[in-house]
Amino acid sequence: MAVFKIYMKIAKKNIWLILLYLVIFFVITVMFQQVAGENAENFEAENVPVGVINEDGGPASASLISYIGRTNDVTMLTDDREALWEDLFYRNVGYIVWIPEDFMEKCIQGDEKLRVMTVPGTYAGAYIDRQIDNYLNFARSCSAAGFTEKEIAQTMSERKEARTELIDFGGNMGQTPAYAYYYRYLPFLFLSVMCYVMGYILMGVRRGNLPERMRASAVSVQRQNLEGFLASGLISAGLWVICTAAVLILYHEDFLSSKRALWYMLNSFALLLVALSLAYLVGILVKTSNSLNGIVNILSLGMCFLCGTFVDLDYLNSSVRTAARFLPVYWYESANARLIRYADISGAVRMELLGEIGIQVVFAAVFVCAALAVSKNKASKQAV
Amino acid sequence: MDIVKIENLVKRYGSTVALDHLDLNVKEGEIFGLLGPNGSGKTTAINCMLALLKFDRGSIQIMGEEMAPDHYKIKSQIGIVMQNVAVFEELNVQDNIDYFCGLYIKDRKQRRDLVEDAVRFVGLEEYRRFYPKKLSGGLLRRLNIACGIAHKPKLIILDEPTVAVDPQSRNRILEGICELNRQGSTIIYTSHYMEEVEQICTKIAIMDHGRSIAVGTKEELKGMIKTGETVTIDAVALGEEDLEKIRKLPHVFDLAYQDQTLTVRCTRTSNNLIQILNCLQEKEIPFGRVFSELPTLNDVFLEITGKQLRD
Repeated sequence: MAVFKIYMKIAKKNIWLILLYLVIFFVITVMFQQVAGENAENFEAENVPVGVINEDGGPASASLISYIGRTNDVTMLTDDREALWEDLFYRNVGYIVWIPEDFMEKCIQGDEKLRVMTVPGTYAGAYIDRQIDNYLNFARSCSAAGFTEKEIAQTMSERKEARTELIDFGGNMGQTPAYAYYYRYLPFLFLSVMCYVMGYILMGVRRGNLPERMRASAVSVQRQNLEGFLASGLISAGLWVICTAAVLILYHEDFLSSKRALWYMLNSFALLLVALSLAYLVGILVKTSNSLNGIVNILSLGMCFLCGTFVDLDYLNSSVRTAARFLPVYWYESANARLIRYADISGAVRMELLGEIGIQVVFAAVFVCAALAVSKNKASKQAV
Repeated sequence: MDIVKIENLVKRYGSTVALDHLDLNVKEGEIFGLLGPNGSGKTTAINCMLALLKFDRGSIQIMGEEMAPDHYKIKSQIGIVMQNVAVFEELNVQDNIDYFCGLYIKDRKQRRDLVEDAVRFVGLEEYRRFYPKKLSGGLLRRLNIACGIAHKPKLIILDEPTVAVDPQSRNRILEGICELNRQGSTIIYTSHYMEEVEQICTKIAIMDHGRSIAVGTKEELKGMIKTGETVTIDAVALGEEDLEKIRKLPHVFDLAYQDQTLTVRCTRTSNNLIQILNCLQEKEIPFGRVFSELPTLNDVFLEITGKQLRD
């Protein structure tokens, strides 16, 4: 088992690299988990401090103030231009609206627009504009239907807020479980570690005249290949076991009770096959540590940014997403997103998941074929 | 018994003929030297012998059997020391030797003893734990040799093992090769350093353009050529008439006068030097440094091919 041992010895020499990437991976995972956790609050309507100068005093203007006050902090102001500028400058208010005398006649029955002041470049203006338009449209409809000012004000006060019921297919109250973040960032770890380790191993065993020296030895080429595959398999299986053990330790109950644990494991195993086959191809192509560094960074970071690892798939534009479909990590992340969305993996969801995992396996097979073709081409050039 | 028998071997790289109907016979117990300039086909011949290269025509028999890429029984009895150092940078001296020995010897205890012997043989006892990057060129070459010979093979092929090696390490390597031969190994040694080949080889094949142009012991090779002695004299102001007189001396067959140095090539007889000096004294021509050389393998190469071995 001389070839097996040399693979393991070179891998052992690079153990620091594996540890470094494991640390980076765990730091990234924890960091993103925390950031996502902070942003994962329930939806609440935005609260804007609104200043109102009411020159009308009728029931319709009172109902408008009440309507705005449902989701915003309303402050009654006097029409003092300098004081109003000051309030806006110091952000005491973000929006000021004048309700003119005869509001009903001028603005509901007539076409006069409400005078407003806002801080330029803020979203508050558009947000409160929409609320006021909403109120005026409803009031105009009532007025057209023959409602009096009092009736309009009463109808407006009785109008209920719209509520939307969300169906929780993911079984996690709409939240992304912590272990999902762990699996989401896994491609960066697998691609980096496997490409580096296999790259260093294959560079080591292919350096200078070593391939010829090995072919001249008493160990058959088939046996050398077999021992090499065994060692590569063991190294990659070791990485997968470490990562799976870590998820079991960190998210033990949540993970196992989700009923999707095996799917996550299966998906990550398919990704491991992709990483191993790609690493083999990279290892055959590179000749120096510098080129290995460059290629590994391009592959791992490039795929992670394009395929939804670092940036959510939903935020990627359609052309990027189309391009990403030609990369295996896209299908891994796509399967992961499906696992987050659905708690019950059956029927069509199951088939789609299997399809996504299958595509990864096909990618792995393509990489292996490419690596074998390159390897054979190199060997035939040497044997000319 | 022929341990290596190469017949009519032809190897082409496109339109370039690397080996041109090469015939070689290496007998058991010999130190067989393959001497030739760079590009003469020495390494190609070795790679064909080891079945690392396919060839176009001919046959190679090693230890009486046809050589093939999957003939691992034969390969197990061959030790190879490549022209470029082929060791693992990730392993130290001891582990490197152990690794290459492990490709032939499975038994751990036997291997430990063999590795120890190899370390001592090449004098790397103090460098066991050193990694190749920390070794000098000479020590690295010694490690390369240790990796090739640790399993005590019957046939050892050394492809230019002393390239870029300091004189001290070179002597150690050459002594080691003779010792391996005394221990029973047959050696095939390629080099373009004729002094080395002359020093250690019991039989020599001179190669040029993929052909073996002369084979024999060094004495046999030198006997094949006309030159028996080369006399060199520093002499000032030799005229055409003087040179003509020397040229007409018996046994002188070639003469050159350049930069006030006279070089006279004579056939294999005695008193050549005295006759030339007498001739100069008769004409009262002053002369300085005088020396006489017996033919070298370079002379053999020069006379057969018309060019220097290191051209």
